[in-house]
Amino acid sequence: MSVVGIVSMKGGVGKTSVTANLATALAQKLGSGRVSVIDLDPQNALHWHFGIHDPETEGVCRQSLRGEGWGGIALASEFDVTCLPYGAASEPEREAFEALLSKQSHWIGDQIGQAGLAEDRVVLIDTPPGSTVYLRQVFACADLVLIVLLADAGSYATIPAMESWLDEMSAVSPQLRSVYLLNQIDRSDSFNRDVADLLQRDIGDRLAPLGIHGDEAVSEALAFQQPVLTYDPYGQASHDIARLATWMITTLNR
Amino acid sequence: MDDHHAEPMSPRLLLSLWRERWDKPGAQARATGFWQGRFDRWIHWLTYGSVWSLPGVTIIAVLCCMVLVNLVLVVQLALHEQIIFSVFMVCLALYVRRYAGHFVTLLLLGLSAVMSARYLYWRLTATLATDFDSNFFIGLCLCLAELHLWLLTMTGAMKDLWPVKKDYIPLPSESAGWPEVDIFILCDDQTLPTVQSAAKAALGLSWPKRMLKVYLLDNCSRDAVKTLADSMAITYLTPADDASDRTSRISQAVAKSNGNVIAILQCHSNPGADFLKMTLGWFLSDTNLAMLQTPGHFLAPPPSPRIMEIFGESAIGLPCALIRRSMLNEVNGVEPGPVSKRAHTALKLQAAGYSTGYLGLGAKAEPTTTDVFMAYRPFGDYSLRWKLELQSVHNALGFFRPIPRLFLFCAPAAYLLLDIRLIDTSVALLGAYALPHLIHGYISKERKHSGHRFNEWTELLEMLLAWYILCWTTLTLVWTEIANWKNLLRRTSPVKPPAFKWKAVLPYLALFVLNLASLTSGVTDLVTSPRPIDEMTVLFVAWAVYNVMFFTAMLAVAEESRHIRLHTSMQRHLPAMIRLPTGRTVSCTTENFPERTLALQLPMPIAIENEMTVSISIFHNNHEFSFPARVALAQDLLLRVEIDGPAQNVYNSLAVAAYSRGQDWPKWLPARDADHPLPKWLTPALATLRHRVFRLVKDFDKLMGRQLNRVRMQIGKKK
Repeated sequence: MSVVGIVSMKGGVGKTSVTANLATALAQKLGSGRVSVIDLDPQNALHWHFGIHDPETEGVCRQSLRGEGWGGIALASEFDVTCLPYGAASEPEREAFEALLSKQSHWIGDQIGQAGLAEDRVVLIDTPPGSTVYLRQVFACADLVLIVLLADAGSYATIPAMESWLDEMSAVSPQLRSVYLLNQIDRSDSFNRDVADLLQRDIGDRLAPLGIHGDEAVSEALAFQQPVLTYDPYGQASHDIARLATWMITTLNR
Repeated sequence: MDDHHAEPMSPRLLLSLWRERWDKPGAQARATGFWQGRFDRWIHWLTYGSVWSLPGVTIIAVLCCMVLVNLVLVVQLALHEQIIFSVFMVCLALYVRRYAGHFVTLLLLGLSAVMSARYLYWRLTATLATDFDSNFFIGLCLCLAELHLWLLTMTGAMKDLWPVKKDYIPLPSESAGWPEVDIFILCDDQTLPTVQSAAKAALGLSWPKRMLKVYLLDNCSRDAVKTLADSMAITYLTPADDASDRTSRISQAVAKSNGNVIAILQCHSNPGADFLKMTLGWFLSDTNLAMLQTPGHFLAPPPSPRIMEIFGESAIGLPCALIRRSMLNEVNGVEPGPVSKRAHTALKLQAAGYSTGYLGLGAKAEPTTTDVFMAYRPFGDYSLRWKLELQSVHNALGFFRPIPRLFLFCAPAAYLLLDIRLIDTSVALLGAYALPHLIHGYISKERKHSGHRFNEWTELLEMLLAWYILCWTTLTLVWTEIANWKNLLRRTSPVKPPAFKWKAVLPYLALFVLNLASLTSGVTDLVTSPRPIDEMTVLFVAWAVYNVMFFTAMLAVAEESRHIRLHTSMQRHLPAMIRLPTGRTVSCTTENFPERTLALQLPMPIAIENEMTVSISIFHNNHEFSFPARVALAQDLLLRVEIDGPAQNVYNSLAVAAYSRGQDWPKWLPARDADHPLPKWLTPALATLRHRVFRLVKDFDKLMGRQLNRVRMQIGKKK
C-alpha cells in the first residue's frame, strides 16, 4: 500500500482538482479497485469531482468521532476510484475531530492500516491549506507528499515556511519523500514564465519532472462533475496528469 | 552547426561532419601553399609567345607532340629501362608540383595522362592471357575497368580545368588608348536617395570625364528622378513602349549610347572608385574578351560549383557586368525574354567565338588589387558544342562508375579464391608500369583538389554516392513502369522516395565479406604453400587488405549517416501544445518542426478558424517554448500555423538548438592524427633520419669539393 499526500501552504492552488485527476489517471493505469482518495479538507469538495452528489453522506469526520472503522463510508465512483469524503460536519464536530487528531499523531495512518487494504492499493489524501493538524497527520503516514505550487508571487512566498515545515517533519518521518508540483503553467504569460524559471533555479532539484499546464478544461470538468481526463482527454492538462501518474507509479515502486 | 542543418544531408556534408568529429581543420586551413616560381611564367611565355602566330607552327607542333606521345605510349622497355624512365618522370612531377599556377597543374595533368596511357597500352598488349579462355576475358574486363576509370578522371579534369583565374592587369599609363565607357544604372523601383547615391558614385568613378557617360535606366518615368538626372547632367532613359523587362530596356539604352564598353550596375551595387581601372585592363589585353560579369548575374548562366569554389566569399558580391559593345552588336544585342533566356547573352557571345569571364569583386564593395580577379576559360576557342559533348561524355561515364569499381573490388577474390590469372606478367614489371601511373594520378588529383579535400575522402564519397545513383535510378525507372501498370488496375498512393537505409548498404557488406574471405584464403596460401612464395599472391593479398580497409570506412560512414538520419527524423516530430483563446488546450505533435509554416497533428478535430491567433508550445528536452502563432489552415486533423513577428527569431534559435547534435562516438584515439596515419613517435625519428642523410650528402659534397680543389692545385703545380 502506498500513501500519497497532496498538500500546499496556500489555498486556491488547485489541490483538490489535482488529487481527483491524479487518482483518475492512476486508476486508468492500474485498473479498477486499486485507487482510493481520502478527503481531509473540511470544505468537503473532493467527491464532487467524481460525480457523487449526496452532501449529507457520512464521512471520515463523524465516523472517526463515533470510533468506527472507515470501511463503511467508502463510496464507489464510476471512474474506478473509491472516495472517502470528509462528510458533513458541524463546527463542534470538526473541532472535536481536530482535537482527536492533535492528540494521536498517527490516527490517520492507523485508520488506513486497520481498513485492511490490499498491498497494491494507492491512497491519495487531500488536505486543507496551511500548517494544520491534518497536514501533520499526512506527513506522519505518507510515502510521498506532493506540494502543489502556482507560478505566482503568493506561492513563491510560502516556500520558506514549507521548507522549515519539511525540516521539522524530516526528524519525525525520515523516509518521507516530498516533491513540489507546479500547477497551472502558462509559458505564454511572461510573469508566469518568469516565476516558473525562478522556481526552477531555486528548487529545481525538488520539482517534479513535469508540471500541469493551465487549462480551462479543468474548471469546466468540475462544473460537469467529472475528472478532466474523461471530460477532455486530449487537452494538455489531461496529458500532463497522465504522464505525472506514470512518473508517480515509478517513483512509488522504487 | 546551424548551417549543417540548413541543407539536406548529403555525403559531402556527412564527411564534413566526420571531419568535425575528428577535430580536423576546415578546408581553408588545409590549403597547400605553393611556391611562386618562374615555372608558370615560363610556360605562360611559351604558350603566349609570338612564335605561334607564324603560319604552320601550330600544326608542326601538334604533329611533333603526337609523334612524341605515340613513341612514349608504344615503346616497350625492359624492366630496368622502364624503372629508370618511371623514376625520371615521377621526379619531374614531384619537382614541378611545388610551384603554383594553372599551367603547372595542366603540365602535371599531361604527365599523368601520358604515363597512365602508357600503362594501359602495356596492360592491353602485354599482360593479357594468350588464349581465349576465362583468364583472358576476366583479365580484359579488369583492363577495361581501369580504362573506364582513367577516361572518367581525364574528362573530369578537362572539364574542371576550364576556369582559369587571372589577376588584375594594369592599364597602359597613356589614357588616350583607354576605352570610352557607358555606365547603365538600373534603378527599377528604387527610392530617390538610393538612385542619387548610385549616380554620385558612378560620376565619382576614377576615369577620364570625357570618356565616361552615365545613364539612369528606369522602369517607368518618374519626375523626381528626371529632375535629379538633369541636375547632375546625366541621361535619364525610360522605356519607350512600356517594355516591362529589364533586358529590353538595356537593349534600348544600348541603341542610344555609343561607348566602347558598357558597364551595367544596379543601384545598390557600388563597386568603388577604382572599379573601371581595375577591370578594363583585361579588355585591353585580351582582344577576344566580350563580357565580364559577377557570378550569378542574370546575363550569364549560373556558375558551376568549381567556379564558386574559386570565388569563395567574393561570389556573394554585387551584381555588375561589363560588355564590349562591338561584340554585343555582332550577336544582336542582349537576349530579351524571361529570366531563363537572358542567360543566353553569354552563351551567344561564346558561340560567336568570344570569351566571357566571371568577375570577382570581393565581399566588400571596395575592390583592391588582390581581390579583383576574373576567371575565364582557356579552351574558349573551341565551339560550345565541343564542351557540351565532353560534359555529357563525362556524365555518362560517371553514371556507370560503380561497374568498373566492382571489378576492382572483386579482382583479389578472382585470383585468390577462383585462381584466375588476371594479369599475366611478373610483379616487378607490373610495379614498374603501374606505380608511376598511380603516383602521377595521385599527384594530379591532389593538385586538383588541393585545399578542398583529401583523395581518399573523395574516393569514399564518390563510391558512396555512386551505388545510390545507379541502383535508385535503375530501380526508379523500373518502379515507375510497374506503378503505371498497377495504376491501370487500381489507384495507388504515390510511391515514396527511397530513404537512406542500412539495408541499402548490403552490396558493400557483401563485397566486404568477399574481400575478407579472399584475404583469409590468400594468407593461408602464403603460410602453407612451399617456398619460394608466389609474388602475385602477395600483391593480391595487399590489394584485398586495401579493399577491406576501404569497405570498413564506408560501412562506418553509412552507419553514422543512419544515426544522423534517425536524429533528424526524430526532431521533426516534437510534442506540442495549442492554447486556444478560450483558455482550452490541445496536446499535439509537430509534423515538420523547423519549418516556418508549422504543421501540427491533432488528436481530434477542433473548432478553429483561419487567421485566429493561438499560442503554440513546443516541448524539447524537458523545456517548453511558447510562441504566438496565426492559424493558416485547419484541415480535419492537421493544423497549419504561421509563426511570425518577433517570435520568429526565438523559433529559429530553437530549431538550431534542437538540430544541433553532439558527437555520437567518443573521441577514438585522441592523440591520433587522422590525416597522417604514421604514429607520432615515428615522425621525429623520420625527420632526424632525413636530416642526417641530407647532412651526409652535404658533407660528402664538401669533401668531394675539397678533393677536387686539391687535385686541381696539384695539376696547377705540375704545370
